[in-house]
Amino acid sequence: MWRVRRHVPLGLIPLWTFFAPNPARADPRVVWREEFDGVWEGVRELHFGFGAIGTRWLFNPALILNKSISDLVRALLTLDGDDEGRSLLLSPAYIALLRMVLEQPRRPGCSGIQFAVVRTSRAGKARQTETVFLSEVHSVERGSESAECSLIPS
Amino acid sequence: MFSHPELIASRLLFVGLVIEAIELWMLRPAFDEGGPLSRGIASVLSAGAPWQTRIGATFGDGQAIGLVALGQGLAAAAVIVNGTGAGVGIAAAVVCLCTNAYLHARRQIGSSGAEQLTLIVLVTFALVLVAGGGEQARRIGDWFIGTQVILAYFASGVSKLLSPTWRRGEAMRGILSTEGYGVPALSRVLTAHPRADVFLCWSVIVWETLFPLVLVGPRSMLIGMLALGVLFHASCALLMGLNRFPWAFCGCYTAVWVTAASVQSR
Repeated sequence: MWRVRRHVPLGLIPLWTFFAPNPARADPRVVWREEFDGVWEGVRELHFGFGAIGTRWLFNPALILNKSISDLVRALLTLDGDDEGRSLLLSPAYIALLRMVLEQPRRPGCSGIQFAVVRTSRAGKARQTETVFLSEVHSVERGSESAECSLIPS
Repeated sequence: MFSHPELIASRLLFVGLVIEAIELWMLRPAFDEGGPLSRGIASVLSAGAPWQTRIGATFGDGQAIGLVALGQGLAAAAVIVNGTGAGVGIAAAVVCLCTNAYLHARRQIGSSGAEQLTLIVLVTFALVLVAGGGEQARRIGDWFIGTQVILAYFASGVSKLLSPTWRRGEAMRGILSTEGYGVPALSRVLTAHPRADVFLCWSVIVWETLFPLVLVGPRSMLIGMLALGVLFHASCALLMGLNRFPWAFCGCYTAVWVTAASVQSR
């Protein structure tokens, strides 16, 4: 069935399970950091905002962006769980997330970049955070603000 | 929905297309170079995919998306006004199919079940037209869409029934605790009152799993199941922000009605 779906364009063969069997219990978030001469700067988040609770029942453009990130994260973690090793680096989800991170404004002098996927939840009163994926360190050309880096880990 | 284009209920799906058009218009910058839905990202995501799923994936930036979204919004508005019974409405629905297929292909990621169902309905309508667009073709189109919706709920219900989290009645508080889909304050209420969570989880499981009974049950059951469906999708929109689902799924309820009526008349 999966093979057939992959070959049918526009997702015309549906797979309906709607939050089952594993319902969402946390928000996947992509964070990243820059390296300067062997020292890592603070973590920043690749975040597009959540829809306001008062209006998202009607208009919710943020859902499209968040679902996009969530789709990539799910694809990445599926591959990671399959123990694909370093071939993970060549997966579309990994490259797409890396590219999104590289498109973020960087500070001059940055020599390396790394991203991670964390899951945050507010099941209790305090926010709980769990790191579920850590990328390789990728070197970037100093002074360059382009979305280019070495895919081979440094 | 194809058999009774004069009904307002048969046009609800196109309200969802107007909403999608406005949302994508607002997201135009995300499709430009450097954005999370840029052509570069789409190119990466579609690189290893079969050729037929790559069509349109890397064509057009934010400006193109804006133009196509505008076209889709206007065409969907024309269908809401005219219905899909004749002339302008039919042409506008075909325009919606073209724009929606492009927008779907160009994004590659971030699609929801509501968008999938909407596209399936539009493709089915095109096939109805290819088959002549007559009464019989429209009825067969309704049967297909009605069956899709019934299967969607049933598959989803069975999937939940097989899930220990749903069976234990812990799913709703988990979903509502997320910032993307939930209302954390409501999640805390459910955590404090776990029986309410059990009731909500099992209500969804029972309603979804038993939905196929609309085909064989009395008319009162059909009306009740569809009313619960409206309540379910409205709640999901209000609480979880799934704003496109009420228009897509409830927009197909006339097809479920036609399918159930056809089964029971035999």
